[in-house]
Formats: sequence, C-alpha cells, structure tokens
Amino acid sequence: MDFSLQFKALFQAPIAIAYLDRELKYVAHSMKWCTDYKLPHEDLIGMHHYDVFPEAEAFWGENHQAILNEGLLESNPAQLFTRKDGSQFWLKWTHGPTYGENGEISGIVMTSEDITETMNEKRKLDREHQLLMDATNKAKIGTWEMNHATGELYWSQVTKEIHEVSPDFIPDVATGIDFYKPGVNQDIVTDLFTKSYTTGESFEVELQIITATGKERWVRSVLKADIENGICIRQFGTFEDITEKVMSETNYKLALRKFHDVFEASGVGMLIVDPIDLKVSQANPKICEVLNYETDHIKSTSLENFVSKEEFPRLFNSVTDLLNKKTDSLQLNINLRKSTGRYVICSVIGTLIEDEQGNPVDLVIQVIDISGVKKKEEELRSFTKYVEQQNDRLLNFAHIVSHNLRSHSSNFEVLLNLYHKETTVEDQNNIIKLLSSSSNQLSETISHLNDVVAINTEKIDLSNIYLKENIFHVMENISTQIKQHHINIEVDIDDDFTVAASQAYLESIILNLLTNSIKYRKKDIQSKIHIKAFKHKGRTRIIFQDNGIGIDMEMNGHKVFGMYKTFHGNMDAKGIGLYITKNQVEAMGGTIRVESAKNMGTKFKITL
Amino acid sequence: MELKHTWIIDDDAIFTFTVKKILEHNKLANNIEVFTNGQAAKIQLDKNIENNIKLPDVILLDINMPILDGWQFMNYFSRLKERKEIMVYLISSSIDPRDKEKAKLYKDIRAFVVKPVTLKALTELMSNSKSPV
Repeated sequence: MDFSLQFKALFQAPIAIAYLDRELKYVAHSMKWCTDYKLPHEDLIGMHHYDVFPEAEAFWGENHQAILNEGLLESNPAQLFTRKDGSQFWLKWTHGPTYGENGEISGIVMTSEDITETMNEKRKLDREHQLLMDATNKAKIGTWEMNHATGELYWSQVTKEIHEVSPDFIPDVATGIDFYKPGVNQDIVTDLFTKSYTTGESFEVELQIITATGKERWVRSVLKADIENGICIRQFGTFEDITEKVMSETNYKLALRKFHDVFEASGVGMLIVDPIDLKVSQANPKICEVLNYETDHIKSTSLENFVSKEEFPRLFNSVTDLLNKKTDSLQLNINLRKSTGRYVICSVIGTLIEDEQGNPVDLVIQVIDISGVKKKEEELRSFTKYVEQQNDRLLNFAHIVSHNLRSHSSNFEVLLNLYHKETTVEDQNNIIKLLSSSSNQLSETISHLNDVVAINTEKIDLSNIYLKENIFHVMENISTQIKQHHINIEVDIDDDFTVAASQAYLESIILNLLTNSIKYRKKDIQSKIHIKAFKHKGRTRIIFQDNGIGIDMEMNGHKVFGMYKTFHGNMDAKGIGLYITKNQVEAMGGTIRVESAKNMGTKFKITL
Repeated sequence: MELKHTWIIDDDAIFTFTVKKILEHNKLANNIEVFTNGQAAKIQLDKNIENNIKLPDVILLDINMPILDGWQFMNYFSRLKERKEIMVYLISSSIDPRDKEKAKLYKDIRAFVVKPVTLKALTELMSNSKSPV
C-alpha cells in the first residue's frame, strides 16, 4: 500500500497528527503538528522525535516503548502542560500503535489538540458559576429549575436549606408545592406556577411555607418560564427566606400601634416634636387639654410659640445639650402658654429618638401640669415658715413668762425669810409693804400675760372698718391729754377709706401709738403727729409719724417690740405696750415696722 | 472674811432691798451701792474712773433692765481698759439656756446665778471672789 498520497494529504489535516516509525523517527505529520507546537521546522520527516521534543523522552519514553511492544493505546481528554518558558497549555491527546501489513506494530501515531482556549473558557464559566453560587449562598437566595423536557426539578443547596431538607433530597413539583402552607398559600403558588407555565409570565410573590421540621417561614418566590414555540420547556426562579424581614416588619407595625395607643390614651400630655425646628408633629388629647387647644392648632406649630420669650433660651439650651449628647434626657420646669393667654407651670421631660446612624429623628416630650404641686409647695413653705415663727414666738414668750413670774415669786420667798429675821415691828411692816407691792406686780404681770395669750389664741373676726372714724373715736377718748400737751394730730385719710380689721384691736393699736407719741414727745417744740393710710398691692398701709425724741435704733432697735423692754427710763413705761400692739397687728394677719433715730421722731408702718 | 465693796445693778427694787439686807446682816459686804439700770451704773463707773475714785470689788448684775440692759452693760464693761479686777456675777430670773450660753462669752462674768439667790449662794460668791469660776 502506498501511503505517500495519504501522507501528503495528511499534511493538510486540520488536526495535529504525527506518525513515527519503530525508531521514533517521523514518517509523516500534519502542518498543524508543527504550528501547534510552535516548531521552528516545517518538515520533520526523518527527524527523531526526541530531537524535536527534548523533554519528551523523560516524560513519554516509557509510554512509547509500551506502545511499540504491547500496543498500548492512551488518551487524555485534557491535560495541563508547562513549556520551557513557563507558559501553560491544555492538550487533548491520543497516542497508539500503527500496524503494518502483517499486523505487526510498525510505529506510533500521535494526535493532539490544543484545547487551552476551550479549557480557559470552561474554567472562566466555572469560576463565574462558582461566584454566582457563592453570591446566592451569601444572599441566601436559592434557585430552582423545572426542566419540562426531562421532568426533573432541581433545587439549589440554599433552596434545600430553606426547606430544611437534606442535601441529597430529590424534589418533585408535587412535594414542592406541598411545602407551602396549606390553604391560601398553596392555592396561590399552584395558580401562579400554572399561569407561568401556560403564559410564560414572570411572577414574584411572598408566601409562607412549612419546612421539613415543621417551622413556618416566609419566602419570596420568583417564577419565570422559558417558552419555545409555544411550549414551555423550562420553568425556573429564585427562592429567598424573608422570615426575619417580615417578622421585624410585623413587630415594627405592632410596636408602632402600641405606641400610638399609649400616646392617645396617656394621662400625661405628650408631644412629638422635630428636634431641630421644634415643630410639633403629633399632640395627644391630654396635652390639648392642658393647653386648651385643638389638636390641629398645636400640630405644625413650633413649641417656641408656647413658651415666653424670657424662658425660651432655657428650653433651647436644654434641647441643644440633648442633641450634643451632653445630657441623656431633657428635664426642666417651664411655663407654657394656654389658649387663654395665661401660663401654666409644667414639668417637661424629653427623650430623643435616633435612627440607626444615630441621627436625631424625633423628640418625644412629656408634659405634666405641676401648678397644683407648685402651689402646694409654696403653701407648705409658707406654712412651715409660719410655724417656725410661731415656735420662736412661743419659746420667747415662755422664757419671758418664766422670768417674770420667777422674779416676783422669788421676791416673795426672800421677803418672807427676811420677815422672820426682822426684830422691830417697823421693819416688819416694811417687809409687809414690800410683799404687798410684789404681789401687785405679780398680778399685773399675770394680767398682761392673759392679754397676750388672748390675742394669740382667740379667733378674731375681721370686718370692714372706717379707719378715719376709728381714729377720731380714740382721739376723743384721750382728748384731755391731747389738749393738755398741745398735740397737733393730722389725719390724712379719706372718709370712706376702709380696712379689714378687728374694731377692738384697731382701737387698741391706735391708742397705744398715740399715747406713746405723746409720752415720748419733745418737750421744747410743738408736737406733731401725722397719720396717713393708703392701699398698696391689695393691702392697707397705715403710716404713723411723730416728731418726738425718737429711738436709738442701733442700741435698742431689737428691743422695740420686745416684752418688758423699756429704754427711756420713763416712770410709767411698762415695756409691754408695743409688744401687745405687735401681737394684735399680727393676729389680724399684718406686720408692723418702725423707723426712727435719736431726736428724729418715730415712724410706725403698719401693713394689714 | 474681808468685806467687799459691792454694786448691785438691778431694776427690781424689792430684789435689791432683799439682797442688800442679806449682805449686811451676814456681814458679807459693805459699802453697797444700788443702781436701777445699766445706764446709771455706766455713768457712775465712768465718773469714778475719771476722778480716780475707788471702784467696786464685786458687781451683781441683772439682765433685764430698761435703757441699758445687762448685756449692753457688759459690752461697755469689757471694753474698759486699765482697771482693777472686778468680779461680775450675773443674777437673773431667766432660765433661758441661751442666756447661760451668752454669759460664757464674757470673761468678766464669773458666774451665772438664778434667782432666788440663797444665803448659801451669796456667801459662796462673796468668799470666792478672788478665784474665777
């Protein structure tokens, strides 16, 4: 057989092929053999294989011998080789024996195909596929595919995980649908699956499944279909577990509703306010009640409108501190303006709601009307002060009483002792006189004390007294004294001026002040007394001024209204007059003060 | 016992009468002068100092007196410079603890005696005059 023609034709073969004789010398080859291997030669006939491919001996030596001796036939669909220069290539190759006319092994035939490109392409696809798999795994999105030609249903790993089945679970359409929650869910998915099959439409739906372990899960299922020539050949899609998302949404909605209910029903006034411009976005019924406005009026107004100009900086600073995280919450007592224009003192507490990035979203403010509380506080404070004062007065009084009573009683004791020691009748009579005197003093003291106690304990009725009339009445009673000492009394009071007071006390006070002024007048000048009265901030002020010898306030100021305190050495000064006057004024709920200086007259200021 | 030159400063006439009697009877003091208030005593004290007249050894001082009371007198008295040692005894009907405390503030006040003053107490006062209480 003449193979030379065939060999010639072989040269143009579209594959790399080479024939070697038993000495591994080339007898024929295709051009591609040279080009594929990037050989420098075009014609290898007669050349030794190992000369052309120096590495071949080490690698293939044994194989070649095996082929020649035993007729070994080998192939590899894809093998990676590295050239001398380090570059790599993939080869699909076969080598085997050639046979001579008599069936003896005449040589080796080798074919190879450089499939590097194909392999790279494949590897690229593999890589892409892997990436997709990874991505979907990370996104926990499963895929599924129904091949209608083969009737096979494919579930990806993630899809199986979502259904909580083992990796080697083999799904079919019926069981697949069964996983959906019986009832509405199954009905919908069946319906859509069928529709997609018939029309090729795509669908996206959120439904509930029951996993293999009995858990309820929410899934987002995407259904697509490939239609070819009016027949659906393939349906596929994705499968995503959205349980968490749904749950948090449901929880969120529930929390929102809970908050809304609390907000509306709260007995505490509540406002939702923008933290930056303080605009009210929501107001609950209670705050509307406190401020006496309709909800709509309060909404969309800035909180600034409900606070006075003077107080707004305080609110502003508190909010700023809150926003700058200097404080955890806002807390202050501030006056809020009602619809009537009046202000009500409120306790304001605010907390900031932030989003996930920590940006302020809302300021939730609670408002409590504390005017009642404040009033009680004030009342308590005032009452405590009053009680303290009473206690002081009482203590003082107690000491004075004990002192005075002791003075007299101790005198008794001593006098009686002395009586027994006196030898003459004259001396004894002397003692008796002194005892008598002491006894009188005791009686007087007790009488004074009775007066004082009476003033402090009896309930007095206040009525509207015509002041001017009252003063004239007193002046009449002491008219002799006034004439005798030529006292000039000026009464600067309107005829119809009234004061809420006790008739008796008022007379007693006027009498005392008048007699004092007369008693302590300057002997060398015309004595003048000036009485005037007026209303000031809802209270009555009576000013009683004389031009007498005055009081050294520095030395005696603290004793003026004291009990039994005298400082002029006046014979008929008991030192109790002003004490009683003060008690009477205070019993009527008023105050009395004195302004004076030595030789500069005296001024009494009474407030009722 | 040496007889002491004594001043009694008290506005209660009966009290001063009785004390004077007791002191004289029991020979506890001689040359007893009585002043009805702090002002009168102060004036006399100033006068005596100016004219180099002998000052008292003992002063029995009451608290509650008109014009110048016991405390005001003590304020004046404490400020007197260069004088002989005078024992001052505060004698009062007051049992107010505040008065007792206030008495401690004046180093010249040797004791605080509460009325009625017994003979025993007076004897002790007059004999102890040299030693502080």
